[in-house]
Amino acid sequence: MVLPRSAGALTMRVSSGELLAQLKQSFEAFGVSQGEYESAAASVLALERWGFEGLRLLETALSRLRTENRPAPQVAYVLDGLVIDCFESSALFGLVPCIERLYVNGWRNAGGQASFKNCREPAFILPSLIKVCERGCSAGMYWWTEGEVNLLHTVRLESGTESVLVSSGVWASRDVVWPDAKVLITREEKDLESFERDLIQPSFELRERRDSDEHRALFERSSKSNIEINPWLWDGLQELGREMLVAATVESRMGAGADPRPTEL
Amino acid sequence: MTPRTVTKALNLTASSEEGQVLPLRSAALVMDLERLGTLQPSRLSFMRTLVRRMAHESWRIHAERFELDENGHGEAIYRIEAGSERYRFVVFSSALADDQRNDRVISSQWDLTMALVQGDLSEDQLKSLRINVPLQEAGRVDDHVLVLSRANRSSRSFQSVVQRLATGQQPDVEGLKKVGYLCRTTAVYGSGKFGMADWQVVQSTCRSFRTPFSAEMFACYLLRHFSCEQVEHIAKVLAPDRAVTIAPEIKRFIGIGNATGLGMAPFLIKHPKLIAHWMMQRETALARVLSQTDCDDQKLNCLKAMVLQVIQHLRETTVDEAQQQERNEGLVMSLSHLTEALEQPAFDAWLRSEGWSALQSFVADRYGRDADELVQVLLFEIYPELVDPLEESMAVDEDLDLEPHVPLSECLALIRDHYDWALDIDFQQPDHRALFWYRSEEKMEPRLGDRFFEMGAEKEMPMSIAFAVRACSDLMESYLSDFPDSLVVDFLMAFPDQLGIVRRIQSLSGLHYGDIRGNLSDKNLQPMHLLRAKLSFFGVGKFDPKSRLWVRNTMFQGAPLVDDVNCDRAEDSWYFPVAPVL
Repeated sequence: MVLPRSAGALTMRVSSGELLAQLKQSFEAFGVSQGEYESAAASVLALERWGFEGLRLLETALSRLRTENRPAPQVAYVLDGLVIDCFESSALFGLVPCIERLYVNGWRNAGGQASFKNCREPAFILPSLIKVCERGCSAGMYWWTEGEVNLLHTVRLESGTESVLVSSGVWASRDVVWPDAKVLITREEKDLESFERDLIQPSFELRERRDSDEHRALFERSSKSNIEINPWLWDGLQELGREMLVAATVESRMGAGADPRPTEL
Repeated sequence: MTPRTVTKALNLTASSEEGQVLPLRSAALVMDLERLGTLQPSRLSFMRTLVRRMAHESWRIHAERFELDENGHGEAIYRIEAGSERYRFVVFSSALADDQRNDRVISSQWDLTMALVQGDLSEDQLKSLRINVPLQEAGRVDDHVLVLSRANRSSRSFQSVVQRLATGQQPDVEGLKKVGYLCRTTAVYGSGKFGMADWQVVQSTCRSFRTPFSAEMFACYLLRHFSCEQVEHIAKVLAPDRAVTIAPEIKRFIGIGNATGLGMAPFLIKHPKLIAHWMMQRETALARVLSQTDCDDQKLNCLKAMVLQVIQHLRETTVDEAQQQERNEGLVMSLSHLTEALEQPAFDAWLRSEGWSALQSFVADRYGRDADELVQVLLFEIYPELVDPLEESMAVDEDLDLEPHVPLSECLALIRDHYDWALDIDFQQPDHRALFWYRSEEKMEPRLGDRFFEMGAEKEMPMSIAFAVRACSDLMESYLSDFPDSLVVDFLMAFPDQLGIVRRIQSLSGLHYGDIRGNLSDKNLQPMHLLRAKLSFFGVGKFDPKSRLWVRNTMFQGAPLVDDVNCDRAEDSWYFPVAPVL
């Protein structure tokens, strides 16, 4: 999809409410169910608020999302958890039941883990994980982005007294050591620590770390003011959303209420 | 790890001010769509609570700029001091041909456009508002703006009031009984639309507007004030020596008009927890009042006076639609009978011994729903100390969440228990699926279409909760027959498209009042019931349906004036206003 030209502004600001409403309507145009488009819209907003650049991620994915087939993820139950094959689809859609499955497994077995194979934009899994951690568990998520320098992203979600504590790190490595995104849900924070010790190898170089106070501050700040968005993305979302509108006719105008002619004359 | 459980058995009780457990009316009764269509404005309505707050906190409102020409065109800026907070209300008044004046959202020109802005106003901000506010939906504003609205002059009243003021006469009160306003608003936007501040931001940073819709209601209140100042200004320019200003008694009887169509309905479906909470607060107020047994002389006389006032109010209310006229006449008849009953010694003695609960049962049994709901809100007026504390908690966390670990059989039982009304609907009958809601390409206006005769059903808005629940329940039954021990999460893995409705069902299950109980796709749907329910929470009066799809009404009629607020003499007794006698 070629995004339409914006009015010329380099950036614009939108409120969280209108962004969420627009995302829902735009994702509805993908033909996914109400629960899915609502979850996906909330995911983009939550990622943005927590400082994980949800809008930038969406911007790079939007054209592909429009044509993506979105086959149902295939779930295999293995000894140490779930293996979920996403068939090169985005994590934005279709994975909420899988995360809930993982949560229930974790609740039953005092912990559970999953590998997401062939999953694009795995960061979109994070908001669903935050949601389940709000119920009183902890989780870790780990995924790679490949480039000139390969980066391992680590996010830890701990159940706090009032809200989930989010902390993150980015590690550089010459090699992608394992290809799948990994998620661990547990009730013991020490499980996360030992899981990470196994994953993060001594050769990895720490590039960036944000503690829970920094993420909380980002969240608070973005909750109190409008959100910056690329006007091209906004135009593209609006264009998608318009697909859910029904053409107007003389008859349809009568299906809304007041007489469309001038009133009180 | 222990899963958080929000599903619990319903405990249909409320608490008194002292913590005493009080019985609540059932969800089957309260959330019935037709019953919702009988709701009346009350002292918990947002207009009432706003005016009380303005009075309690001694708000001050003054015109900082009032630059209108001889036709009333130009701009005005009002400065609002609300405790330590400052706001500006900016109005742009433009010329509009009579044949352009329209109640519909799809209009693009208005007599007045306006914005409520937080804080001080710089020249740059004002320049931006001058460009964007008159464009309404087509413009963009920033997050200093809390409310955006527009209004048209009433062709029936505006000019005639100007003429009378210019000739030294007061407005014709008989005319004002028919049209209780000078201007009528056709949309009031807030909550983050078009770049405005989000509701959560308003709630946390604007103490003055911390309760739902209070900023929107305040914009309407100031529009009412501006409309009076505008007619006085035009009359003064027209006849500087003869023109008079509107007498305060008459000015209080001037409200602000409103025209509302289907656009308001989706809110009620999209915000189920909020609506259930509003109903809970209202029903808690009722339970508290009905538990009182102190029907003494003072309170009975107060009730009698209010009933007489409502009778007069209804007699002064002009509506065109036959059904609404019939309902108003029925109410007048019922209340007249009640007045007679209240004068009878035996009835009086019975009431004193049995309490208000007995009165409510008597009214409901004898006169029906309309009178029942009306007498309830009158009883609220007798006990402000029991009702008003509830106004501060009209907001609620609207997050919906799943309980994936729950056995599916329990979830199905929950549906059978809470949504029996939906399962009773036979959706195989075409009439029960006849209508669909959609968004039009014209300003995304919500509209109703006939599924079997109109295009667009594939883009249907998810308004038919009853149908979605029915479909989900059928799938659950079938799945359970194959997998009797399955959990909710198993079902969702198999049917991910059921995620939305299962999340809704589980999230509402712990609330006393859940979803609105009506089939919104039924051929005989009366959307007016939805509009009336929401408008009653706003506090509108003079409910005047123009068809089954839209309604005119009046806001703030009888409310204290800005002058009253500025002088700390705003009274809280402006329910069911009646025409002044000079």
